[in-house]
Amino acid sequence: MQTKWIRLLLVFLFVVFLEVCFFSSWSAMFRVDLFLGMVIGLAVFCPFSHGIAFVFVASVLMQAFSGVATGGFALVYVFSFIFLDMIKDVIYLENVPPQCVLGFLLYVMIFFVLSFMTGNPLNRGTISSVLLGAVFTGMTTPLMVRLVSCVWGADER
Amino acid sequence: MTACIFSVIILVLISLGQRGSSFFGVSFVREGFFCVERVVTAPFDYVSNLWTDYVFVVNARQENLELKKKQAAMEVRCMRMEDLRLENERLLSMAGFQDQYPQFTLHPSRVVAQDIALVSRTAVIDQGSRSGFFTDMPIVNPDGVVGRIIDVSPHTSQALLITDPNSAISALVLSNRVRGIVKGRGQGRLSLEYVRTGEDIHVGDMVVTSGLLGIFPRGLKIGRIEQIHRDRHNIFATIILRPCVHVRRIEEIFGVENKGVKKNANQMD
Repeated sequence: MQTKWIRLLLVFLFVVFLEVCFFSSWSAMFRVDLFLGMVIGLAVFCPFSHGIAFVFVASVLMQAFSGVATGGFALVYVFSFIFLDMIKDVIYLENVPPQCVLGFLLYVMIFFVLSFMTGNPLNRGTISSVLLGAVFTGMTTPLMVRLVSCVWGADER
Repeated sequence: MTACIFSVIILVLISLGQRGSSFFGVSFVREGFFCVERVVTAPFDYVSNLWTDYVFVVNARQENLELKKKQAAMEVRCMRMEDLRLENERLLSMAGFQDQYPQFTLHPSRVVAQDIALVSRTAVIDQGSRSGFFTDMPIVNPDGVVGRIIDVSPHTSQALLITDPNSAISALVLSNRVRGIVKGRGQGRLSLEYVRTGEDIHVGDMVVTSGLLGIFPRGLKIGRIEQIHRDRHNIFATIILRPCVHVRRIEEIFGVENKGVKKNANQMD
C-alpha cells in the first residue's frame, strides 16, 4: 500500500512540476489541470478512503504553490472527488468520453469557485482562457486516469 | 666607352630607385614573366584543383561538419553572453536604485515558479528567511514594483504580484500628486481606485508608490494610466493602469529591506 502511495505522490509531484514550471512559462492565462485527471482516476480505481485521503493531502500540498486562500484547493478537489464517487455508480467513468466531459466541466466549475473565493474579476479574456484550459484539461484527463490506473493497479498485474 | 655607357645607365637606374619611381622595363618584364608562368602552370593548377576540390572532398565535408559544430557552440556562447549583458544592465540599474535609496538594502533573488492556479497571481522565489526575506517585504525590479512577500520559508518565499486582485498599494499620480490605491485586476492590469472624477489626470500619467503605509519606498514606478472612465453619477473615476513591470516575464527581483525598521522576530522564521 505504501508503495502505491509513494508512486502516486511521485506522479503528483511530476504533475505539479509541469503545472508550476512548464505550463505557466508558456502563458500567464493558460493552465492545464492534470491533477483533476488524477482525481477522476482515483475516484474510479481507488477505494474511497484511500482516494479521499490522497486528494486531501495532495491538494494541501498544492497550496504551497499558489496564492489561493488556505483550504481553497482542498475544498474544491475533495468535493470534486466526493461528487465523482457519487456519480460513478450512475455514469460509467471508465470510458474516455465521460472522462473528457467531466474534466472539462470540473475545470470550469473549479475555476469559478476559486474565482469567487479570491475575488478575481471575470472578463472576456479570462473566460476564453478558461475555456481553452478546460478543453486541454478534458483532452489530457483520460491520460491521467490511465496513469493512475497503471500506478494503482501495478501490484495486481 | 661601353663601360661608361653602362655605368651611366646604372647610375640613372640607381637614382630612379632612390626617388621611389619604378622603371617601366622592370615591371614589364615582371608582368611578362608571370603571364607566361600562368599559362604554363594553368594545366597543373587545374589538375591540382581537381584533386583537392573533388578527390579530397571527404576531408572538406568532415571539416565542414566540425566547423558547423564549432559555429553552433559559438552561437550558444554568444546567446549566453547576450543574456549576461542584459543581466548586467538590469543589475546596474538596480545599483542606481541602491544609490537613490541608500537607506534600503536590496536582497537579490530569482523567480523559480509561477502560481499553480489560474485565479491568483503569485510567484515562488528562490530566497527565504535565511537570506533576509520576511513577510510583507516589498519586491521590486529595475522596471518598478513587482509585489510583496506573503509567505516565507528558510530557502524559498512566495510573492504576491501587483496584478493579483488581493494586492493593494498606496500610490499617487506623479504629475499632480493625486493619491489613490492601486489594486490588481488579474489579466496583467491594475486599477487606481478612490480618485475623484474631477481630478486632473490624463492617459499616460505615471503612477508611483506614495510610501504612506511604510511597506514600499516612496517614488517607485507602478504603472501608467491606460484608460480613464469618468461617470458623472459616480464619485470616483475608474482608472486602468498598465504596470511598468511585466509580471509574467520577471526573472531577477530584489527584496527591499528598510535598514531603519526592526522586523518582527516571528516574521523572520
